[in-house]
Amino acid sequence: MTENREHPNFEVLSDLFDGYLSEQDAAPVSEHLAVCGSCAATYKALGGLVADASGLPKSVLPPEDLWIDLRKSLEDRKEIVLPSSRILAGDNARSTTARPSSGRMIALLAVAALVLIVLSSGVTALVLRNSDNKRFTSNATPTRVEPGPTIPRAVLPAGFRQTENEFNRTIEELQLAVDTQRGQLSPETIRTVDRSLAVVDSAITEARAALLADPNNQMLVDLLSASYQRKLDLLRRTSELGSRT
Amino acid sequence: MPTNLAWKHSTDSMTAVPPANGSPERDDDARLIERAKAGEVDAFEHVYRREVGRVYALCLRMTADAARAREVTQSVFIRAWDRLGSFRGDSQLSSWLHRIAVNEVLVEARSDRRRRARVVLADDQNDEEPGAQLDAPEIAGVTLPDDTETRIDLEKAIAALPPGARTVFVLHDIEGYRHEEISHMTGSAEGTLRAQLHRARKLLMEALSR
Repeated sequence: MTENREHPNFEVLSDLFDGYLSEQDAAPVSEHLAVCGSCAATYKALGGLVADASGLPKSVLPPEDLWIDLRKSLEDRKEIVLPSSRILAGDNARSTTARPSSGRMIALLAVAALVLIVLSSGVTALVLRNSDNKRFTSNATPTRVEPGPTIPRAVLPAGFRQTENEFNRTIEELQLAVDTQRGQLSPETIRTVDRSLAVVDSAITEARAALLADPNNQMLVDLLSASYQRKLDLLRRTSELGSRT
Repeated sequence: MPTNLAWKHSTDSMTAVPPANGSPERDDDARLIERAKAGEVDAFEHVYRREVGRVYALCLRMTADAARAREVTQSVFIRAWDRLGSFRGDSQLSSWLHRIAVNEVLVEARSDRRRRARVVLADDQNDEEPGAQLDAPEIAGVTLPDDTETRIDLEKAIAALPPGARTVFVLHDIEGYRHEEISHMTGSAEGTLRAQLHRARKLLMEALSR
């Protein structure tokens, strides 16, 4: 047996194993393996490694049951976020046959963002006007006001706070992903995305302020959820567009 | 090497995951999904019980960090719940969940890398370790018996791989994705992925031969 001293490197053996070498390139490597004991042993060991890896258990249970916490999160989302998610899912379902391009999708989201802020402003104005009316009505009727040591701080509904935290965490992740991909997007797309984000952020700020003023208003909860969801969608689409270019 | 993996404990439970109640078969996917879409968390629990093992295994191997794997696993099921409306049933539920899991891990990894200002996936190949460029004959003689002890060694060696190489190895050699699919998921070029896979295999063979 004559050993060819020009051993193929590991990358070539790995490519041969995966079938990435052309017949022309594979033939001399196979011939070498037939006469070189050390390369044949490496090739065999490589096969053993890949076989062992593919034979590793596909299922590993987490050390503790995650369902209890998960269920709580899902219940919270069911109450607050799901309606808007369902609407968006319905939108996706309708668009599967003629899915717009990502660029067009961003333009559509920009329009949606404008609609959202108009809607948000209208609802906020309505809510604030109602609040003013209530204040005016209550002032018109003399009542005894007990002096309190502190002014109660405006807070969001408890159930929504956790949802908002999850939104913010995901938004932060997507924002980071988009930031890394900005260089791959055209200046026009970046401008559109930035404008849309600014609009959605305004809608979020406004809806949030209105919800703080009227924490029991479910319509405002839905509106704020929809605004966050809109921002998520915009960032997600932008991220997908960036990763494709 | 990460020390917070719990493979020894986990291997005891590396079995098919039993459903929560009863034993819904794959044919029941559509019915379960319809019930979950209607807001039935109990129906979604069946999905969770059946699939959490596969999702967690993927998350654990890709992150090499048990705490992060638990967090990402929870995120995967939250995302799945949110996106139930987009599940068409033309792919298997487990495949759909698997894709969400891969995406979640990659998004989490990108965020983590940004936070730590570390190198990105495609640049992992630049921090070559000593010995990684050895020619084939110099790492010959590796034998990989298939007993449990070796399986645990292999898991630990995979966990010790650089993140980029580990990601590609887990997706290609364990989960069976093709480079084309991994390229689509990660945004990395196929050539880069192949280089990462070669590197992972070489490092693993070296680690297991010691």
